[in-house]
Amino acid sequence: MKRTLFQEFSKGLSVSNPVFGLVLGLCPALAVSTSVSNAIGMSAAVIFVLTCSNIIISSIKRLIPKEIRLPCFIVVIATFVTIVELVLHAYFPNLRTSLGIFVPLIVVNCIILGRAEAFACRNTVMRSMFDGLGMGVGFSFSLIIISVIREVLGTGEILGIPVLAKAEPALFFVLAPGALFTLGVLIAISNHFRYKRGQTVKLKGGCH
Amino acid sequence: MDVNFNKILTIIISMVFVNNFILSKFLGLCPFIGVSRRTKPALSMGAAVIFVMTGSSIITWLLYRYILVPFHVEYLRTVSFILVIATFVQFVEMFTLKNFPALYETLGIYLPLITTNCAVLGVAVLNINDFFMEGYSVLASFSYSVIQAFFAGVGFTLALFLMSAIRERLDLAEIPECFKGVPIAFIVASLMSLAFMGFTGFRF
Amino acid sequence: MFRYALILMTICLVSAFVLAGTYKVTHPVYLEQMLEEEKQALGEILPKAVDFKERQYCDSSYFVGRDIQGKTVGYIIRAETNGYSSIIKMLVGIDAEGTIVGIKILSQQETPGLGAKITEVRSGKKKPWFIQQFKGKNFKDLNLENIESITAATITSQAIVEGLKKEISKILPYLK
Repeated sequence: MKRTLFQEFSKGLSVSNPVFGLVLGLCPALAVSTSVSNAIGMSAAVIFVLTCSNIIISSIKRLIPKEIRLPCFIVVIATFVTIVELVLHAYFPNLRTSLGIFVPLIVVNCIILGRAEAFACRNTVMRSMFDGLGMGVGFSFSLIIISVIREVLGTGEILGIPVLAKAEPALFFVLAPGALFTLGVLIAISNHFRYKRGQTVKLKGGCH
Repeated sequence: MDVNFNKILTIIISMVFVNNFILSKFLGLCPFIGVSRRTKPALSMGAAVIFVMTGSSIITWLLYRYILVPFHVEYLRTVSFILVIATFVQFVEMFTLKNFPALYETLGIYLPLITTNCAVLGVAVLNINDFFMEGYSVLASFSYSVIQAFFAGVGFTLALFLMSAIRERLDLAEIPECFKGVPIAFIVASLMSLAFMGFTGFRF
Repeated sequence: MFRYALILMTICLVSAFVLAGTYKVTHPVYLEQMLEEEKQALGEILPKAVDFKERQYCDSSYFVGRDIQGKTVGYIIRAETNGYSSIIKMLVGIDAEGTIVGIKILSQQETPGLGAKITEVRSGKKKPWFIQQFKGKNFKDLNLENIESITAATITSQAIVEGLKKEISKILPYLK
C-alpha cells in the first residue's frame, strides 16, 4: 500500500513524530528550546538539512555501494550542515551565537541520518523530499511546543512579548533541569494518548 | 600561554561536574536514555565513549592544526571531523572484534552508535572553540584539548552510571503507566541536573 | 575495494567544492558585518569620537577615540573578569584619568535571573541599569559598597567591580 505524498508528509507530524514518538533528536530539543526564537531558527535549519539531504541521497542512491553508504550519507549531510553554518555566520550572527555548538551538531542528529538510512536510500526523490519535509516539520512542531512551555513558564514571555500577567516566572524552566522535566512530562502525555489509541509498544529511545 | 596546572584543574572540574556533558550541556542524550537501564552496560558504554572521545579529539585536533588551518579551509571542519570520528569508530570496532571478542559481545550494538553520539563531535568542536585562540602555545592547546576530551568522557560516564543505578531501583517502583520507561527517566535526569547545578560556582 | 574509495573521494570532492563556493560568498559578508558591529560597539561607548585607532598593548589591544579635530576623546579597553559561572568580557571607555565613560558587556554566561541581570534593561530605559551606574565614576572610587549591586548575585557584582578596577589600573600608565 503506497502512501500518497501528503501522507508521507503528515506522518512526521503524528505517529512517527521524531521527538515524542521515536525519541530522536533529543540533544538540540533540550538545549535550544530556551526560547521560541531559538527554536524557530533551529527548526528552519533542520528542515533545510533534512529535506536537502533526503533529496540528494535519494538522487544518488544508485551510485552508492551498500557497504559505504553510511560515510557517504554523512558527507552529504555534513555538507548541508556546513552550508547552514556559513549562512548563519554571515547573515544571522545572533542566531548563530544562541544556537552555538548545536549548529554543527545537526550533523549527528539521529533524525537526519535515520531518515537517510531508512527512507531516502530506498525511495524516489519526490517521496524522500516529502518525507524529509514532514519529519522536519514534525520535529519543529515538538521543538516549538517545548520552547513555548519553557519560555512562558520560565520568563513569562514569548518572543520577547510578555504573556504572564501577574505570575512570577519560574526560572527552573529555562535552565537545564527544566528542559529534561518538560520533555519527560510531554512524552508521558504523548504516551497516554498512544495507549488510549491502543498502541502498546513502549518506547526504547535512542538511534538504531 | 603555557601549560598551567590551575587551568587543568579547572577543566577537569568543569567537564566532570559543572558543565557535565549530559546533565548540563545535553550532549550524548540518546545513549543516555537507551543504555542506562543497568549498571554494567552503562559502565562499558562509558569506557568505550571515553576512549572514542579522547582518541578522536587527538586526531581532530591534529587535523585542524596541521591541515585545516594552514590551508585556510576551517569551514571544512564539520565534514572532516565527523568523517574522522566515523572512521575511528569503525577501526575501534574492527580492532575489538578481532582482539577482544568477549568485550565486543558486551558492547554489542553500542559501539557503532557512538558515531552519532553528540558528545563525541561536541567535544571535538568544543576543543577548537576553546583552545584555538590567540595566546595558547601549541603544547598547551593540545594538552588542554586532550584533557578536556578525556574528562568530558568521565563526566558522561559518571552521569550514565548514576542514572543506571537509579533506574535499576526505579524498575521496582510503582509508576503510572504513561510515565513508565522514558518519561520517568527524564524526570529523574532533571532532578540530577538540578543537583549538579549546585556545582556551578565551584572555583579555586 | 578501490571503487569504494573512489566513490567516497568523489563525493568528498564535490562537497568540498560546494562548500568552498559557499564560503567565498558568505565570508566577505561575515567580515564586513563583524567590522560594523565593532564600530557600533565602540561608537556606543564613546559617542563623541568619530575615529578609532587600535593600539597594541602586551598581548591584546586598546582603542584611542578621537573627535573631528583629532583630539583624543577617550580610550576603550578590553576587560575580562571571572564572574560566577563564566568569564565576563567587556569593553570599557575611560578618559586619561581613569574615569569611566561607558561600558559594554560583550559576553557573559552568568546565571539567568541573577548574575545575568548585569545586562537587564529596566522598562523605559535603553541601557542596562547595572552598567550605567558606573558612568562617571573613577576606578579608584569603585567599591562594592557604593554601587547598587544585584540582589543574590554578589559574586557577579563584585567580579565586575574588581575587574574594572584591576584592568583600568593596569593599563592606565601605558595609554598614549
